[in-house]
This record gives sequence, C-alpha cells and structure tokens, in this order.
Amino acid sequence: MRKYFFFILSFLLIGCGQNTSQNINDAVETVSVDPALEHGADFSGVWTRDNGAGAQAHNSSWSREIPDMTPWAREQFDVHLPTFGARAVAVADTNDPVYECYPPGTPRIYLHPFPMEILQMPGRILMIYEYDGITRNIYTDGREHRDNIGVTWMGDSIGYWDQDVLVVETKNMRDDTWIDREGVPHSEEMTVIERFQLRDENSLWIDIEITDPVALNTPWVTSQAYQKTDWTIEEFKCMDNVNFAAWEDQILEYN
Amino acid sequence: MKRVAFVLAVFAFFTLNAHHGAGVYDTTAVIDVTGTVTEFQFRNPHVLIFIDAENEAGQSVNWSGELTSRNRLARQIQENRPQWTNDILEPGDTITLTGNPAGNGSPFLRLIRVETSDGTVLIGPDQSPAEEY
Repeated sequence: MRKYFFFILSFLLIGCGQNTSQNINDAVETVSVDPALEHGADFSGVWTRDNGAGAQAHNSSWSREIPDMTPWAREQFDVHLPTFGARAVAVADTNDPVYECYPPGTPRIYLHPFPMEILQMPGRILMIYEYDGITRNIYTDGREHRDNIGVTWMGDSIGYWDQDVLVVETKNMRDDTWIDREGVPHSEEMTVIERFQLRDENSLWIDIEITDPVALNTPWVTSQAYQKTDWTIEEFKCMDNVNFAAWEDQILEYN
Repeated sequence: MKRVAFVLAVFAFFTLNAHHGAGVYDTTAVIDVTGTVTEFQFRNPHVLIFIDAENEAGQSVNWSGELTSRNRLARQIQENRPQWTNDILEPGDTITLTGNPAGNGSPFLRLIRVETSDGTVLIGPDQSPAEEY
C-alpha cells in the first residue's frame, strides 16, 4: 500500500514540475486524411467479451499453455506472483503491477472482463475500455509509429484496412506490464498485431499476434471475441481497489 | 434465523468474481448463511453485503460477502434476475447468502447466490448449491 501512495505522490510531483505536452505535439506529424484510407467495416458500439464464441483467450491468459519463453522471460516469469492460473497466490501476496493500479497494457487489457466502446472517425479509431477508463487511439490516417517519444503503457497504435479487416500494429510499450494475468513478461521490443473483423454485425473477432524477440521464442498467436451490447460504458476506477483491499485484509487478519 | 451448512461442492459460478484467483477462499466448500442486513455497499470493484447471523452458540456474528462489480450487477448479468440498484438491499432485510467461505474460518464469503426472505433470488442459481451433510 505504501508503494502505491509513493507512486501517486511521484506522479503528482512530476506533473507539477514540467509540461511535456508541447514536446509530444511537436513529435506528431499532421497528416491529411486520405479518404481512400477510410473504408472497411463499422466497429462502432459497446462490446462485451463473448466467452462462448470459441476464442483462444480465457479469463486470465491467451492460451491454456504458457508460451515459449526465452530464458530472459522465464527468469522474470518465475518471480512473478500472479493471482490467476496454476501459480495463483492471494491478492495480499501478489506482485502483479495491476494491483498497484498500473495500467494493464496492450494486449492484457482485453483479459480484464469489462466492456469496451469503439468510436470510429476519419483517420482515427478511439477505444474506450471500461476497466480504469483506459483509452487507446488507433491512427488510420497513414502515419508511422512515433519512435521518438519513448514507451507508454498502452503503446503506440497505427492501423490500416485490409478490405474489411482492420489491422492494428502496436509498439513502444513499457516493459513493466505483463502480457497476461498469469505473469508472462515482455520487453520494450514487443509488437502486437490485432486484426479486427465482424463475423456478423453483432459479433467482433480479434486475432492477436504477440511477437517479442527478447521474451518469446515464437509468436504467441491467439484470439478474443466480443458481442455487441446496448450498455453504456460506466465508471470503473482502479482506485476503488484500495477500499476493497482493506476489506480483504480483514479476512487475512481475522482472529 | 441461522443455517450454516458446509458441503464439499464443485461449482461453476465463480466467474461472478473475476478479481481473484485463489488463496483467500476455500473454493471446494459452499455454505449458506441467513441473517439480517447491516450494511450494503453498492460499489466497485466488488459489491459487499454485511449481515448479522447467529452462530450455533446463539451469538451474533457479522458476516460479509463479496459479489462481482457494481457495473456488472447493474447490467443484469443473469436472465430472470433483477437489475441491481443501490436500494435492492436495505439494513434490516433478512437474506440468505451462499458462497465459498474464507479458508481460515473467518466470517467472509465469496458469494455465489443471494436470496431474500420471500424467496426471490437476486443473483445465482435457482437452488442453493450448499447441501447439509
């Protein structure tokens, strides 16, 4: 818990000390939108996970077997203490960064069982994940990756249309997130390719390929399925976990 | 007023609680606890219900149980069950909580089912999976 508050404190201090938005804006080239790039399918709407659709992802990982990890990754995996999977520990004993309110990163965000909203607009697709209000901008205006602004939690996503399939490539992600909820690590060299397609107007299928020359010997290929709902995206903030943790501590400390 | 029944059971409704994997609860046991609501916290990440229930010695014990998130319950995640709101339970209501007990024997539950005194099931299967033995 103390670590958590230090994290918040350091965030506030950094936030007060400098304004980096100007630098970021300078780094983004303004690209005029080519109407020819704006085709494909309409993914607009609120989507919730469809566990019965046959996707390879399950509640806590991208496959039932652990991926083919390098010794570098295996070493980290062995000291990670997840709350899910064969090596699950109690929340009080975990070192899963998400329990300290760090963003889950891409693609792990899809393993958290909350809906997401997709908004499509010229040159850009905005993904709003209910979990912690996380957003991702996927630029479809033909721009390249921004390789000059360092790494971020959710990465830097660009997309293009392969007929009615939206292909999204995400790079430049921080290496302190896990790929799944069972403790599989990755490096800053990870690339995530997502292929979004509609199976029918209410069924969204996402094929996902995770490559990482530092962490994975072979690409981790998987999929996730969603169905459209009439829900609205509600607030769900990780900060609320602090209250919950206090309740859960009472269980462990009960005499 | 009180009925605390332990049973070994394998039950597949655990997706209600996606926050945890293991460790705190004994997921091989399911119990029923009937009592009077003392507090209802309709919030994320887990809705919490507190009840006073008598133990076998006739003493009042405050039990609490966790459900899934406010957001999920408010979306009516199960057919034939009501959509949850912040007044679906109020202090003084008599209810039966069914769930996995804490592994250390403390009065905490990972809830699988909630039933009111008039027999309305607010969440979970029609019948309680806890069977006395």
